[in-house]
Amino acid sequence: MRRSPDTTSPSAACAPVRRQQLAFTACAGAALLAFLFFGKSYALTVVAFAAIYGIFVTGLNFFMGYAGQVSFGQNAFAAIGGYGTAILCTRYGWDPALALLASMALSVAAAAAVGYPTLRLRGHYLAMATFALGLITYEISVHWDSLTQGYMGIPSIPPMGIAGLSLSGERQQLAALLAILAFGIFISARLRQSRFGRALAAVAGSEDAAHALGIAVFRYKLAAFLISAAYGSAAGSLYAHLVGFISPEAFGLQMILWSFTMIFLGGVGTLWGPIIGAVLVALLSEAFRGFKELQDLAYCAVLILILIFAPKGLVVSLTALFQRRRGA
Amino acid sequence: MTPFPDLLRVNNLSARYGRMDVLRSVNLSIGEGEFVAVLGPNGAGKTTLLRALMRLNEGSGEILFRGRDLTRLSTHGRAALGMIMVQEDRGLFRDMTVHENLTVGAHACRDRSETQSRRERVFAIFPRLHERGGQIAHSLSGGEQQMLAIGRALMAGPKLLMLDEPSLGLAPRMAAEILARLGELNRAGLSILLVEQKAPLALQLASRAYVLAVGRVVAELNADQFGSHHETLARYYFA
Repeated sequence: MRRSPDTTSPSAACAPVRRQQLAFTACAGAALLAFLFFGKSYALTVVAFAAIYGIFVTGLNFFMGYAGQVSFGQNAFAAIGGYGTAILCTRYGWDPALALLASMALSVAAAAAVGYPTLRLRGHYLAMATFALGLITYEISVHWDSLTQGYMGIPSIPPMGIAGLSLSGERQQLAALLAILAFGIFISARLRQSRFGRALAAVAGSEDAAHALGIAVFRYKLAAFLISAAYGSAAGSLYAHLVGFISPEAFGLQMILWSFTMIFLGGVGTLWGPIIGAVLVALLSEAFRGFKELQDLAYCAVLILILIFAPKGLVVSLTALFQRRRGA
Repeated sequence: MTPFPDLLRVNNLSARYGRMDVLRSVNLSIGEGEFVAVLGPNGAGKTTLLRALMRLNEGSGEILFRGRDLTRLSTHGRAALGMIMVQEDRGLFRDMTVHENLTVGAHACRDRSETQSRRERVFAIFPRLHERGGQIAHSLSGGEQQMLAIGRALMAGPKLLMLDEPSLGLAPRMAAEILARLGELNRAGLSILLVEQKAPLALQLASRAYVLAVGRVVAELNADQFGSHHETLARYYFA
């Protein structure tokens, strides 16, 4: 409804691409639905984790992809979400949906507190500040025993639910996760095509040029950061519900490594890239399970190889390859 | 001194990079509807002058735009008043199409019909941009990129268009072509501040010129003095 007439002429040229995307989405949806009913329990768990990470990296993609910034502290928001949900649900008996929203609000507030002073500055200040935030959150989760129970963690977190209705079965839980993920992707797609999304792309493209054209660069960077924090927090809350137990290790530095691998493997700044990355890494982590501690080494290697050979990610590289084939 | 009422007035503008003074107490003014050139050799501080006017670099001194003091106003706030700059490197959004670049140019304009009529005006001035509409910006030729940079600036609805060496890196014919369009825009009423190293090109269009050397305004010339001041210009260019 907000689409301006100017976009009609180029969109005529990419109509087949849009139809392809639609077909792809429909196929993927049908496959997931079939999987929901007939999938094996073990496979359901793998996909559930992929969905949670999908939510996490879709959020991160707002900030790192669309707005072209860097955050090393996204695990902090997942931790706030996870612990918020765990504490509110186990100790105070809150409704899971309410706990999720309250934790999101807290994460957004934390993001604003860190982002407001640092996003005005150019360069690496924000990246450093987010890194510090991640470390601080980790230390708090370890040492504030009375709140977080330290390394012991918080057990018996109830499964997700809303208004007294609890989703106990793993198929129900997965269905809910996929619905939330789909909602998250929908928001991401809509915002990307909007005036807001174009402004973020301008900031990512050239901060000076965007600023000189009247775009309030700081405000847009901050908004992208807050959105990414909200997604990260939701992912943390959902993780707590799915596993039923959280400890500091769940939201450690490893999370940053994983999410970076996902986002760059799939394609930073694309809509589907991070999701595809999340699925691939979830599958890989099952394949690499035998390596134990060496797993992280494998992710680092994948991340470095991707950054060298396909810096725009698999989605962009493969699409380009596909189009060249068809053109030839 | 000028027959035009003041649009922009700059008093004692200074700027520095670290410990190096790049601009020292620059004074200049641009009248409503005027075409003013700022000339000077490499390193004279021309780019810094424009960036300081837009607050992309910090400067000290007074900047008045339509009588309003801009000291505390942010870069985007200045743009919203109608001060629009075309950067030296053109600052295009490389991965966006021509259409998308133009759309972002009109970001601050919420009125769709106004945006559309600005777009039509840009296409009337640079028909090439219309032909290249769906093309990715970085695949355009140098001249087309410069057209797009100017077109995008026009989408922002400038009251004062400031350009940093638009002829840089262009073939002479293309440079002349683009500057001719600037002349047309000025005749249609747009105030223009053109920073150029190639003095002859700029002097054909401007009604006044400032000569900048090592961060100072060393000469201010009216159009009728351009011819007789070749020596002044030559001294600063070749010193």
